[in-house]
Amino acid sequence: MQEPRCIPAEAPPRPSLALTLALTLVLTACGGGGGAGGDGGGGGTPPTPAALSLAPKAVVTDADIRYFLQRTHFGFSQAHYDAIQQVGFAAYVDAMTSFADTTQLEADAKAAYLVDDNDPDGDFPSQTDLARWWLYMMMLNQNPFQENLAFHWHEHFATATTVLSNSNNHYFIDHVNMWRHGGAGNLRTLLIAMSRDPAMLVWLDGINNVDEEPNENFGREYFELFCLGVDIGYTQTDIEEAARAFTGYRQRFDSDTGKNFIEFDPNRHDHTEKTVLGVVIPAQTPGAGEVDEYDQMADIVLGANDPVTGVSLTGQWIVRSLLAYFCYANPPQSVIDELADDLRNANWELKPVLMKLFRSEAFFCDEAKAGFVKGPVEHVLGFMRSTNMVGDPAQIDRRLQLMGHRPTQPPTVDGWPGGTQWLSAQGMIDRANMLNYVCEQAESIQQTLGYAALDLLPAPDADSAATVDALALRLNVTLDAAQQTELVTYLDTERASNGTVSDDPFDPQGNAAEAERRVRGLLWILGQHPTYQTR
Amino acid sequence: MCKQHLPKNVTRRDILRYTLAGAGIAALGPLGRGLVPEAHGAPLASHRRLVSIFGYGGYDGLNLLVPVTNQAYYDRRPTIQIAPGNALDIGETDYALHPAMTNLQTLFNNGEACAFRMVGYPNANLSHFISQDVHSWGVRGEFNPLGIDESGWVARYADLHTATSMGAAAIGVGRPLEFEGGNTNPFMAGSLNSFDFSTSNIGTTDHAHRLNALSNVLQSFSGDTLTTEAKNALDQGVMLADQIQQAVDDYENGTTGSPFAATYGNATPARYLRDAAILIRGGFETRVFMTGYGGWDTHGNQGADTGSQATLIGRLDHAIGTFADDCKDMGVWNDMLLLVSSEFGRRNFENGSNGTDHGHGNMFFAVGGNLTNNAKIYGPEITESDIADQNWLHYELDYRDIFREAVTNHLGGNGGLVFPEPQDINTTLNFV
Repeated sequence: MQEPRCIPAEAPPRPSLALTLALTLVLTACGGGGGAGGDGGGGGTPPTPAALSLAPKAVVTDADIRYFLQRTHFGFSQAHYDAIQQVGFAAYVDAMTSFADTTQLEADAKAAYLVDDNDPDGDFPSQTDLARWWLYMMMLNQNPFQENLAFHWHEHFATATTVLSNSNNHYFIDHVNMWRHGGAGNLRTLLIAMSRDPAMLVWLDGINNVDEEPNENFGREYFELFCLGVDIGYTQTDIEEAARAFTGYRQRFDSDTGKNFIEFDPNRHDHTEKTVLGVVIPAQTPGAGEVDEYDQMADIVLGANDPVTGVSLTGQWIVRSLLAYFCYANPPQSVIDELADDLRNANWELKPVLMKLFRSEAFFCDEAKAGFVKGPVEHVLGFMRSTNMVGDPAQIDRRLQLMGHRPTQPPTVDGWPGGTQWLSAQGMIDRANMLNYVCEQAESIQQTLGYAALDLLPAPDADSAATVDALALRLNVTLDAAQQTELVTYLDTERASNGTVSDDPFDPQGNAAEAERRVRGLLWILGQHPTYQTR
Repeated sequence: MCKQHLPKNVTRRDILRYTLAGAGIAALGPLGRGLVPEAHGAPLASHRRLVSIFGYGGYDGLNLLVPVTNQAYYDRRPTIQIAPGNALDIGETDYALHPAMTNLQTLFNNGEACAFRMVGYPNANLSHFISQDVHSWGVRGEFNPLGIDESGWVARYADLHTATSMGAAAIGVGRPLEFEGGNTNPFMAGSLNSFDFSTSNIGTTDHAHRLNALSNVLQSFSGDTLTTEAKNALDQGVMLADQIQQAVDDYENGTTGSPFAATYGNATPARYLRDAAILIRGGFETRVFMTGYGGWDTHGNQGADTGSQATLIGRLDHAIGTFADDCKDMGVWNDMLLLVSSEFGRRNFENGSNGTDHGHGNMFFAVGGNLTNNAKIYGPEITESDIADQNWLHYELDYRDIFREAVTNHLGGNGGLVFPEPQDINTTLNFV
């Protein structure tokens, strides 16, 4: 086993600057800039929101931008905040949902985590390697939304590496990239790709699903969790019929490469007639000219409509899932239905729906802002994005695994238990310990990169009150006067080993090491604040 | 694992200062009725306890309690059957245990274990997640007609019967739905060893400084529902970390240490039961322990005497056997009841991948030193027709009758209030 690998030396020395520049390039390349409605500045009283309207919000305030970053970028990030100010909000949302080429990032992540002397092509990653490989990209992608959206699809179509092994762990590279590359692409394309994805075929027994005695595992979850929702528009018979349509793939082993691979074997596919959701899939003859029933299954679920309203059931289910991840804990039906209609009208292209959503009054209304509990991934990635702190993905991963939130390993096909189920005493201690790693144990890595938490101060000579306010704003932490006073006192005092606390005013221009230590302690405290646990 | 404790003289004072400050009861989630949980340093005597072990994914009960004289069982499971000669005898003609259940065989034969057949709930749903929710809530229908808020059965028990947040403990299962709702903020730990604040690279003095500032911030905090729950959870962590670590040290190293500390091993659910034993030996007042482990969704290559499900069964058997020994050593076995359950059973027949798809009726198990021994197996006989003519076992014993008796007869609580929903099928078991 290799030693934990740190951020490679060629990583940008000052992430915030590098990210700003790179993102500007990305935006320029995408033709961003000058979009309509892109008033990035603050100022002006926003009109009373027509709460559930999907029309673009007329005035996007400074607070709106911070909220937007919190919901879509894992957390506030100065670089992305600045980019929005530069190009305008509408143009930014456009650029953010058109994923730029990430070949270099993927190559760097692969070099850092998938390749070693014994495996120069990265064909035999361990499951630990895979988790760290993705975390690396989540930490450093110049477009955090791409990774956040991929993480949403990973949660929705939850698949875990835990059923794989040395010869087929490599399936998960393509699996993750399916969500990373296509997350804002076409839903129909994604559904079909997902249903034939090698990791999914292993995870839900597709490779064992043969014509004579179908295995219902994938068919059931295709309806219940992926496309329609539990008991919405389908029956046990539909599950059994779907299971017969999803037959035929098998896993084989290539003794030359030492790797498994997936292939479609017509002899294992059930070619008899099936009726799914009232649609007949005709019997067919095996061999050339055979119609792909995986494609047909996607068309069947995409064609299923609410019998009363006519709204697409799959459209509703997917939109509900997006809304429940990015906006509302309980999405309003009118918003679901309008976006589901849009999705169908756009021939299942996701980008226009995402753009409409993120620019809308509905996204910024009070109901949407009511609050979510952050999961551990968002908790730590947001903290790092907001403070520009970096750390060793291996160390982050080790702690996420302990907390049960390791990307690539959702506990079940239902994804992670979300919301308040993250709020346990153990969970809070684990979060505190994660941030102790980021703030204290990773300090040496950060110093190597020339990073100082003191650079986050609003001015080189900022006093304790200005420092508390600036860092709380950066982390979207809300402090009342009494809490602010407590934290100012923290910065302005020193504790001796015997427990005696004495006055010692904060002085960032005096002893820099001492001031740095206190700012890091302050950041740790803010990261435990109850308002930092929600977004 | 970092085991550095805060300086006790400082921490205790800090804790008392903020936990006993005059906030309203509503803001004092972790304190419940205003009592701070306390570790007494030795097991509480005459203190009834219930441990619920949940098999996430739906275990195949027909291969745990095998109907060894039922020809339909053998006809429909040509590959994954347990042969009569390989199943473990428990003195019953028609039923025997999976070969990996050697400790449970001994417990059955000592009158310290029993089983339940055809267990389920009304209006079966074959979704894992719906079924798990039903088990967690203890309610199949709506909450409104019952006049209670949406809540898990452990949360309702804790509201009625436990004094502090340590009255109910979830170990290794996050914040399970069983604990949602209610006002007692029950204890939840992933593993007790990790229930401790890291002071790496900062040191105990500076950590105490920042933790004290954080505690002071929390003291004045009031927020909405979500942020208040976050605050309560953190409060609980700050309040209990030292006590928990003391109990872990005592269990592993102290003069009152357990001779079984190393026997459990690191597999689940054994290490979760070890943590339960640590809390018991540390003298916490926990009544209900909730734990569980997954892997039971054996759609493919389930195995039979050996194989993937046999491994899961063996882990359960080892965990229960070790925990029973530990409880006997502590002198708490006669106050102990374990219940083993799962969201549903599986098909009567194997599928084409040598596994089983989702079904409904299932076998549950009870283990402990307080069983009545009225029977070794409760619930109706499984007939040939039940297996031959049905896709899955139907339910003929409502799982809530088992849990209600555990609450009423064993814990001395009000099982009727904890499980208030009228049932289609009502069975008096008197198993405990």
